[in-house]
Order: sequence, then structure tokens, then C-alpha cells
Amino acid sequence: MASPYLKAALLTVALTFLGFFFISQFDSMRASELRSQLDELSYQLESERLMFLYSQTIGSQAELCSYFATATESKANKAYLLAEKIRQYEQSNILNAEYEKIRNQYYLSNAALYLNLRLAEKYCAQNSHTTILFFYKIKQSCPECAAQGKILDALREKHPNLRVFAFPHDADLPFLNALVRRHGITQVPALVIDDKTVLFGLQADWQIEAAFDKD
Amino acid sequence: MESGKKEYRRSTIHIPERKELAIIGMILVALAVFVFLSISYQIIFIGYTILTLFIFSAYLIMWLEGARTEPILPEPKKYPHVTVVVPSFNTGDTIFECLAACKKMEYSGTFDIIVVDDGSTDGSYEKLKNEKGITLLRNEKNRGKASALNYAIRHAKGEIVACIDSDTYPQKDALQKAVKHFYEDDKVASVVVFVCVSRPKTLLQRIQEIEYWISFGFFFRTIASIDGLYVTPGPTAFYRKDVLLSLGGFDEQNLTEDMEIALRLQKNGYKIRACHETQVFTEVPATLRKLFRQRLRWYRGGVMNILKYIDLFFNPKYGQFGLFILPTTLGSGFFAALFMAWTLMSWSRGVFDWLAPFAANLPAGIAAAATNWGEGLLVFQSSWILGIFSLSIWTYFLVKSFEISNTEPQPRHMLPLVLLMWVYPFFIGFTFLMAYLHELFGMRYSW
Repeated sequence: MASPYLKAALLTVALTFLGFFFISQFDSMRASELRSQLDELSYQLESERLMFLYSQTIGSQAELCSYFATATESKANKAYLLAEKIRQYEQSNILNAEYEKIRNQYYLSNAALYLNLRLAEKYCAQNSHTTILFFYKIKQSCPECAAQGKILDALREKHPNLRVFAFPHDADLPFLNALVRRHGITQVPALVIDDKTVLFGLQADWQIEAAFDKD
Repeated sequence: MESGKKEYRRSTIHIPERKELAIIGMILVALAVFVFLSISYQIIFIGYTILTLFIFSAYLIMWLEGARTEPILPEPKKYPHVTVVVPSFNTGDTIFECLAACKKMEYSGTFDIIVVDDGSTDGSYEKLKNEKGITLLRNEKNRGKASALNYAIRHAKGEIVACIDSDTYPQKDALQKAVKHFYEDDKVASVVVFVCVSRPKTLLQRIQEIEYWISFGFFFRTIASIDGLYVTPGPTAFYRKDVLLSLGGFDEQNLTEDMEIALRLQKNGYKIRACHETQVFTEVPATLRKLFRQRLRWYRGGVMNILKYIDLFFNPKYGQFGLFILPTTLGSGFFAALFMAWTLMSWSRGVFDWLAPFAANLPAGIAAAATNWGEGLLVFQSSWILGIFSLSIWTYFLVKSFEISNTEPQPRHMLPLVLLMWVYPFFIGFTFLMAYLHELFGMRYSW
């Protein structure tokens, strides 16, 4: 009597193992897709650093400024899209343990790109760009943040000189904590426009535009 | 063996049973809430999928090892007299076709037909009076199908009674093929045949057509191969009259007397066999409203009978029937309802999430919804990969069901099939949930 059930159990175990094998393949495929996008971010970051080092040592400040003026169509502009992708993949992932690393690496690269931009502004007195810091949260679901992300993406296409950097306010990384404290972010979504104006809550495109026109 | 009277008294729903039901219900609801709040979607999905995979694998192996080949039965020494019993309540539009089909049946022995009019008010009784070749009995008041059947069985001359619904049309060889199965084994007290949908017209009926092939075709044949049938379908079932009488006949207080009698037969050690060499065709609900009503009755009856026969569940005394068939068929309804409740809860959260941006800032919400609104809505979940295996086994069942029904899969089956797989389960789960809630709060059922 036990035999058909034993066979069924064996079949189930075998198929479950096979299933998990495919899952692990699939999960690492997605993780490596994210990693290669992160690599592009790091590559950009690295070349900016190198350019800066060059200008400080054997080059000139003018060269640095012209580099920053031309090479600023940065990957960071797609920052929130990548953040969203990381979040979605992490949620549907089962076996891949790399996600925390991927997430943190992404925050760090993004933060570094933001600081490079600030540096360029400081050295080169470039003021043609509007920079928006967009704070969202990762520990709980935040549908308003997702909506805000979409609005910012649309806005970026409309204004080529707009840069958006997205940061989670609850990731508990030293640099992010400092940034959160600096701008007094207590709730999300929050937008910091050109390091001055802070907008809390979901904002429509025209509300954001009104805020950066004030500057 | 229990006397009929005692059986009748047990069949009414007592308050303690309701209390028990209410307590079980509360525990399940609390469990569902707990599970929903504490475990991630992935874990629940994986657990559910692996369980399904095991159940499907077991049916697959039972099919491959036994049910696949129907045994060739020897001709019985004699073909006993059969009484065909047709209960009728306001069925003037179908019963004459049913009787015509019954009269056309070809059988090596003899058979007679009893029609019990259960207090019809549509004038069908008067018309039936002129019908030749039948014995007409009448309940002055409408007392329900089980009562009508019992009335007829007491008057039946046949050793075997064939209970045929007045909206069901048997094939010519139904008697000839089904009766043989009574002689496979002394303990066979009932034989069921392959119930199919008669002339499906609406899309909903075409969905049910495939559903009937799968459940009454593939699953009934597989379950019967290990003597595990838990229902002798109302449309058509054959019984040994002496066994029915000794068990007290059909339960007149039950919503699904066809399931109750099958469980009672099982409990008393009788066997139920399935015959797929012949088909009977039954009318099925054409609209969603009617289907909902029908299924509400089925599933409420299911809940009722689960409670009545709860001692059979997981009871090793009843072998595979108690340990596997009952939990995976009748019992799985609870799972379906639980899964449905959980799905509804997560959907309501999804709706809340979807509405949140609008509530926070209406113009911004609209603007966000207008830009790639579908993006990220459906991200492929790694756990779905496991579901592919269950789906493959289920597809095999589907193919076999078409074979059993002697139907070539046609393009016209595509749409009903897709709906059966991806939309219909939500309807069934929802109906089961409603049936369960109806029973829980003790609502009265009206026919």
C-alpha cells in the first residue's frame, strides 16, 4: 500500500531538487545581470576619480572641468530604475545570498557619484545642473516612493540637465545616515533640490519644477 | 450495520457540530492571519507547490500502475432486473428527453422505470401521467430529492436501482456496461458512470465540459482504482437495492445526499466502482449565478459531510481512502478556501498599495500611473519554477482526460481550457470560501 506514496514522495523530492537547481541558476543569472550594471557604475566612478587625480597631479583644473562638463550623462541618472530592479529581483529571489552586498555596493557607488558631482561643482563653479536627492525606504513597502520614482524618471527626460540620485533613508550605512541627518529626512518620499529645498511626501512633476525654478 | 432510523437522526445538523465547526473555523482564520503576517509569499507558495506536487505525483503513479488499463470484465452469469429511478421536481423541459433516452437503453436483462414527482407545480406531473412505460409515483408536497429517491427505492422491484436525474441522458449501453461491475467483487454496492456535460453552449458550460472530463474522467477512474470514491454523482449512479435499504436509504437532511451515501457505503466497508465504457450526459448551469448556486450547495454539503464523517479522515482503518483520498479531495477544499482567503488578503493589500499614491497626492498619483503603469507589476518569481512541474503533471492528466472522453483536442477547447486553468480556480476557491462561511454562520439553505 505504501508503495505508490513512497514513489510519489521520491518523485516529489527529485523534482523539488531539480526545481531548486533551476531556481539557483535563475537567481544567479539575475544577480549577475545586476552586478554587471553595478560594474558600469563603478567603472564610471573609477574614471571620474582618476580624472580628478590626474588634474590634481599632472593635469590642470580646466581639463577636469571640461571632462565633467561632457561626461556627465551619467549612469546615475538611471539610479532609481536600478534600485527598483534590485528590489524586485531581491523579492523574487530565493537562493542567492548576494543581494545585501549588491544593494550596499549600489548605494556606495551612487553616493560616490553624487559626491563627485558636488566636487565638480565646487572646483569648476558649474551651476548649470539641478540635482535632486530622492529618499525612499527599503525596509517596508512604499508605493508612494515607486510613484515618485516614476515621476522623477519622466521629469529627467523632460529636463536634460536634471540629475537624480536615489538613496534609501533606512539602509543604515554611515554615509547615508550622515546625508539623512544633514537634510533632516524624517519621512519618505522626500526630495532635496539643489541641497536647499526639502520637499516631503509625494510630489507631482509641476510641484518639483516649481521648486527648482525658485533657485 | 446501523438501522435507517438511527442514521436519519444522526444526519441532521446538531448544535454541537456547529460549535465544533465554528471553533475549527476560528482557528483556521486565526492561522491564516498569522501565516499571512509572519511568512513571506515565497515560503507559502513553495510549501503549497511541493504539497501539490506530491499529491499530483501520487495520482500519476496510481494512474500508471492501475487505472490506465480498465480490466476486461467477464460477462455476469445473469443480468438482474434493474429499476431506473428518476426523481422530478418541475423538470418538464428535460424529463421527457431523459425518459426517452432511458427507454432506448439496451440491456440483456429486464428493467423498469419509476418516476417520482416531488410535488411539481409546473404541470409536468399531469403530462407525465400520459407517459407510457413508466410507473409514476407522487409526493404531494415537495420533500427533496433524497426523499423522492427513498420513496421510489421502497417500490423498486429491481435488485439494482439506477438513480438518474431528470436532466441527464444516458447512452444506450449504460445499463449493460455498468451492471457488470457489480459482479467484480461481493462488496461492490455502487457503480458510477462517466458523467459528461450535455450539449455545452455557453462559455461557462464549455469550461465545465472540460472540468467534468478531468474530475469524472481522469480522477474518478484513478480514485476508483484504489476503491476511494467519495461521491456517487447525483446525475447517474447505480446501487444494490438491498444495501441501500439496509443502510437506511438516502439522507433526507443532507445537501449533497450523493456524497453522503458514498461516504456511508465506504464507512460500512462497501466498494464503489467506476465504469468509463459508457457516458451519461447531464445539463449544467449556463450562467455564473446558477453555477455559483449549484457549487455553493455542493461545497456546503461537502463541509457538512466532512464534519459528519470526520472520523474517517486520516483514519488508518480506512486505508488509502481515509489517509489519502479524503484529505486530498474533500479536505483540499479547506486548503483552497484558506489559499483563497490569503490571496484576497494580499490582493486587498495590493489594491491599498495601488491606491496609496492617489491618496497621498492625487495629481502626482495620476501622473505616476500614466507613465509605464504596468511596469514591475508582474515580476517573474523564482518560486514559479517549481510550479512548472505540477503544471506538467496536470497537463498529462488533462491529455488523459481527453482520451477517456474520446475527444480530440480542438482549437475550440483552447479558450475554455485557459479560463479553466487560470480563472476558474479563483471562482471555485471563492465559492468554497463562501460555502464555508455560510456553514460557519449557520445560514439556512433554500432550494
